[in-house]
Amino acid sequence: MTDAPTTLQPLEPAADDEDEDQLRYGSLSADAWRQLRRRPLFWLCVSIIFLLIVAAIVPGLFTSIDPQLGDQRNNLQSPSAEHWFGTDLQGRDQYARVVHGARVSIVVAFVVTLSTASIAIVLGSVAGYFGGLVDAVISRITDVWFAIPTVLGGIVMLQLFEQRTIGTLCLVLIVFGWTTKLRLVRSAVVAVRNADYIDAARALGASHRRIITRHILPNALTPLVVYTAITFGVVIAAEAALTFIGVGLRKPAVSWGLIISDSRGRIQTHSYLLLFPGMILSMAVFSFILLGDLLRDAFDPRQR
Amino acid sequence: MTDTHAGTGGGSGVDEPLLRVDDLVKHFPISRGVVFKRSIGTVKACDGVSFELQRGETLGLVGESGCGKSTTARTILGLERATSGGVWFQGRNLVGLGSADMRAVRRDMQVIFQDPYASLNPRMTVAKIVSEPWQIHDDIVPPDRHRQRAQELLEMVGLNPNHINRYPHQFSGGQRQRIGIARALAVEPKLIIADEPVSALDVSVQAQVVNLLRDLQAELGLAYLFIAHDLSVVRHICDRVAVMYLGKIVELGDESGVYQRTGHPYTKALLSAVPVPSADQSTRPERIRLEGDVPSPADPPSGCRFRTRCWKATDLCAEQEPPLTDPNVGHLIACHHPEPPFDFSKENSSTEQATPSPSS
Repeated sequence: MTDAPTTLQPLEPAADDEDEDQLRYGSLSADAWRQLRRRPLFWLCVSIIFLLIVAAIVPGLFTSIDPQLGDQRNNLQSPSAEHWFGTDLQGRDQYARVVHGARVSIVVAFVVTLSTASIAIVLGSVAGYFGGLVDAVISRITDVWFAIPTVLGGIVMLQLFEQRTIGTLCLVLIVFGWTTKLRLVRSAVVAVRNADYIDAARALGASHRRIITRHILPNALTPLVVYTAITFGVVIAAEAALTFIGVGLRKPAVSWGLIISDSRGRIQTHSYLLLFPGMILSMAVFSFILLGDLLRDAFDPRQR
Repeated sequence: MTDTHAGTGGGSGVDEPLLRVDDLVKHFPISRGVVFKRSIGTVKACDGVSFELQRGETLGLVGESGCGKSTTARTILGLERATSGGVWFQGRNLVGLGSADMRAVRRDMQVIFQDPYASLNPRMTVAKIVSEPWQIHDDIVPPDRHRQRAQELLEMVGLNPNHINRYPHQFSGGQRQRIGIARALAVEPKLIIADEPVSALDVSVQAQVVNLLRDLQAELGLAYLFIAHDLSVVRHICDRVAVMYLGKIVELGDESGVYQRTGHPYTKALLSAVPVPSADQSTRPERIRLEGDVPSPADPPSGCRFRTRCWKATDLCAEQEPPLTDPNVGHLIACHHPEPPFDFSKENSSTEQATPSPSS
């Protein structure tokens, strides 16, 4: 699906203002941005993600119905002008529940993704830059940790908690989610570490901290940025999966995983109960993953 | 040579050279194994190198790829930890110096790298690259003058000072090398180690950069350790020349001595490969083609390291390592059977020196 816009690019005439841009900025990120902003798919993904974030912060903008308030007389109604996604067994508006459920997914996605990325940046750059024993210890621990499947480890660990909140879920997903990112950062740092401009900085007497933050990380973070966009989607799916199989959030919380879990008995009779939240979930995951792919294409000079 | 930096010399004696490298050794261990690394040998990249460099002087360090020139430079700069030996800079031994002391030394000793495409951080503008030294050593230029001083430096190295906000990739190779030179000059050093500064550039640009380095030397009283594999470039800029082979210096002396009274067969072979831009080819020595490859620095030949490729090698060469001494030609040669000099005036004395050197 990404082929069509790519093949069109050479045909596009180079506008004058773009030549100017090239002179003025011309860094890798500026090139990437120039390429991204021409792609409709990029804007589609960004719009969907933006809407989800708005829904997570102010769900009131999308619905005025209380997602907890059920009217037993209206239960299990098909989608209509009044109830866009129908109503569930308790007569609660499914659309309102899906809108309010976005908060859990978005919060978990951001907390987990940013935390794991931070862990990866700190430990990965330390391991990659200093090498030797530090690297050996960090890398071997990562390798062992990497061997534990996220969902399986998550199930086992979540069993330990009596009270399961968003915080617990985030913690579990962070604990099992940092390994790939750390390896990514470490290998990128190792690739940059021996560049001449690092030696030049060392010869000037720059501290390790300055070398890592000013010289290595700006040149080594692109793979992480791209992969992080993808993991937003993966984390949303993992949260829904853990909640669905009953080790995540519990009622009365409102989350996509719980909504889908509630509807599973009625797939044949009232398929809309699963269809709409499932579609929204898939759309969210898909947008983040596609955005990651687009970023990867834009940041990879070989694609140009 | 006049020393314009004498006022900031820091109390070192008059006789003390700016840089004295004393039996410098850098061995790299070859290790095998993923988890438990074990050493299975060493690469003797730099194996007992000694030379001196005076203030305002240029010493050329010449040799084939892999002979240890760059390792020597990196060890002097403290980018590699010396295995043994000493690097005396302004009367102070840099080997084993703490990081705070070393930072102070770095103000007086800078480096220019070979590849102008790899030596500049692609994410920094020229302004940031050139002014970074002043953020590390914050007593050189006050922050409010960074921009102005950076523009002055760009002008000094022959770049347009208005291009200060550009990124490295918007410049050509020669221009990038000038940016690297400006960065090195930012700390007002006394010594610049130039690690093959022109060998990645076009021939036409090479001359420009070499001339720039010479002009800067005249203006600022810089000393250069100029590393190259191209003997003609070295001859153009250097006062003295050291020829390296497999981690050791084989010939060291004045530019005129090494080029005109060449003593070591290896130097002779290198010189015979330099193209002569002259119609009269009769005065040119015959081209010497060396057989075989450079032996592995992990397992160098016994005795003289050049003996495996030398047409004059004898049993003595395999048994005894020739010391770096002066066989009465005015410069140092490490060879048991030095070549008779080209200089006809000294021809008579040289025939005696064709016999093995009595010392060692």
